[in-house]
Amino acid sequence: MATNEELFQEWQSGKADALATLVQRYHAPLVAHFYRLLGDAHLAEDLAQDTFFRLVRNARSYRYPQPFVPWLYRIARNLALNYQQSAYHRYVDLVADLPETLIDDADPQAWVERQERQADLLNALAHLSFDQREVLSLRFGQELSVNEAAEVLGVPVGTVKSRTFSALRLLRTYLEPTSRQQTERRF
Amino acid sequence: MTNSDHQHAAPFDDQSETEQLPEELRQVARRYAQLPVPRPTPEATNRLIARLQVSVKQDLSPFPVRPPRQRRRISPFLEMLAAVLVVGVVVGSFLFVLASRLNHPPTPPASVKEQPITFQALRMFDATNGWATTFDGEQVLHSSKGVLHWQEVSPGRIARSTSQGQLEAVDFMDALRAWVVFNPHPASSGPLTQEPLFVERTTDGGRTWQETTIVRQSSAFAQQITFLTPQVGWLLLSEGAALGSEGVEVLRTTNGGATWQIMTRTSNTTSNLPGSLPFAGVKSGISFINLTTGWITGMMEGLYQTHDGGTTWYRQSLPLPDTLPPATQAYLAATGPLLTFAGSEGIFPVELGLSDGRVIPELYRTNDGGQTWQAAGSLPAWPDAITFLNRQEGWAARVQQHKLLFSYAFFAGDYTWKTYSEALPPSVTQITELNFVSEETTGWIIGETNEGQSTLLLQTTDRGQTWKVVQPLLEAVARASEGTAGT
Repeated sequence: MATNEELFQEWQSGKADALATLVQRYHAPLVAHFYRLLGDAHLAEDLAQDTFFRLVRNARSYRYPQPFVPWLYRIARNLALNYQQSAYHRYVDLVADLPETLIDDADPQAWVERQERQADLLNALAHLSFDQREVLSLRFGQELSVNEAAEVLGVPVGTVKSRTFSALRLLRTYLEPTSRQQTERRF
Repeated sequence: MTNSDHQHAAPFDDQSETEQLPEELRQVARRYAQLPVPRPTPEATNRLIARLQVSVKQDLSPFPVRPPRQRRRISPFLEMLAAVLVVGVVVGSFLFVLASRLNHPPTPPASVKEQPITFQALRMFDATNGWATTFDGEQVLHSSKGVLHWQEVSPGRIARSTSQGQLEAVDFMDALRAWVVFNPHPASSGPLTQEPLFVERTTDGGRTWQETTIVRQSSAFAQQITFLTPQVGWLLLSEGAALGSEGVEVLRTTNGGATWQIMTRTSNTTSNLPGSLPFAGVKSGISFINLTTGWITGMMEGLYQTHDGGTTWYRQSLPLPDTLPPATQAYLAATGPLLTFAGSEGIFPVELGLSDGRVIPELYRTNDGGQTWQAAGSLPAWPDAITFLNRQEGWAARVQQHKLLFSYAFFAGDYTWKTYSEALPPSVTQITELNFVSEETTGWIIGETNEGQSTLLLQTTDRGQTWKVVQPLLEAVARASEGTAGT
């Protein structure tokens, strides 16, 4: 199987199918990554698409055999940060947007409990900084190595490890007392 | 929908780095990894591939990447001669420029050719005097000849910047006084940093600027800068919003921006204490009605009000409109700018989300310095932009199906709105600025085009009944002199 780097080089050389293979590999992971960062399924889909458009626009800056994955996720990171800083998109209530889940469970009670656990987790994530959510997504969502995450974030390997540790510890703190926030607020 | 972001990922527990974590944190990590995430359908991926391929053909040719240009070999003697000549010319030019600078004071560069510009922000104070910033966030403009003719008056640091530095916040008080916040390393240009921000201030229409360095406690960016008087102002720094929460920092100056003091900072690691700003909730802005009383607005549980200039903050509720049943539950779905006026008057547009799913755009007003707020009638719809000249008279604008819906409000017990409709260029998707001049029939709006890729300026000369696109031009460059100050 061709590596990501080989595929991108092939596409730069004019082989259109190579880009299609890369999109098939990373479309879903990017959607998941943006969702873990920002908590909005529709937004995640939009930003994943934007990432690929920006990728092809910046294609000339890629030099084989530069690692492809950290480069891709750096583009994604800049888009997520841009989004956060955009005043026009600040009104989206991210906590309320749980992804749709199929209700095909034989045990409705178990399904309800699972939904509550998801809501608890999302509410706990809201207490983490962007940097903390990002390192968790890269390490445990995208399953990047520590070295790859360090390259995406532009920080030393030790920082990735300490940031991961503090993020997990903070997440644990907020998960322990399972005090779920109401998604609907009184005025 | 799946619990794994990667279909072919290695099992989570096999990661050696993870095994170094304590077991209780590994459990948290495992639970995090199992968070259900949305997954695009194969059809969506195929659509994306098709769009990318069209985009490449239209915008990105020529491909493939060109090979490096072959250097033509010339004789070593000629190479050496050329090198000596180049060095001579460079050194000679440097000495000439140095001598010129020593003998003559710096003079502004020659006028640049007149060129069209696009705006990010615009603030006109009358028909001829105003300020603007360019869409790329890299230039400060000033005009004394009307909205069509501008000069660049960027502070030296911004004009000299060769990186992706950005103007993050601006406040234009009158035709002469302005403050801008410049971030030389915005998050969009690379990894987050804690490099300082710079507040630049002018009192002479941008001819000279004074600079203050803001040392950041985090990688926060400037969300808003606002001045109540020429001396007293506030700076709202944001650590970024996500998952319905946002950390912010409030700074205040009492000497026109020369020095800034941190008044408060939210904490995301401790529970909210009485008198503190909450970490929960997405903040949209800061506004003061006098030297001590102000608000932070946003998608929070009500407003947060201070009575000591920004050190302590307490939640303030808004009364529900009389048109709703008393037991109705509501939350702030969106908030517009909280506008304050002389005489303890204020206006606050909010979008009320009701428990039955309805969303009501409502206008609140105060005439007692913000001690109490009264519902003062619904807005025609939630606007893209809204502004008021005073408590009596205001405008709101939005885009709907390629049309500009422009509404004029007048207060007579309640606000009554009159709405005009005007065809817009199809590329305009949102209104980002709305600016009217007191006692004039002329106003301007900035429309965002092509999904935020650029902007257009539209002008009315009949109080908003008709609009046309106008093209502002950059006339000449006026370089500023400057001084510096540190915090």
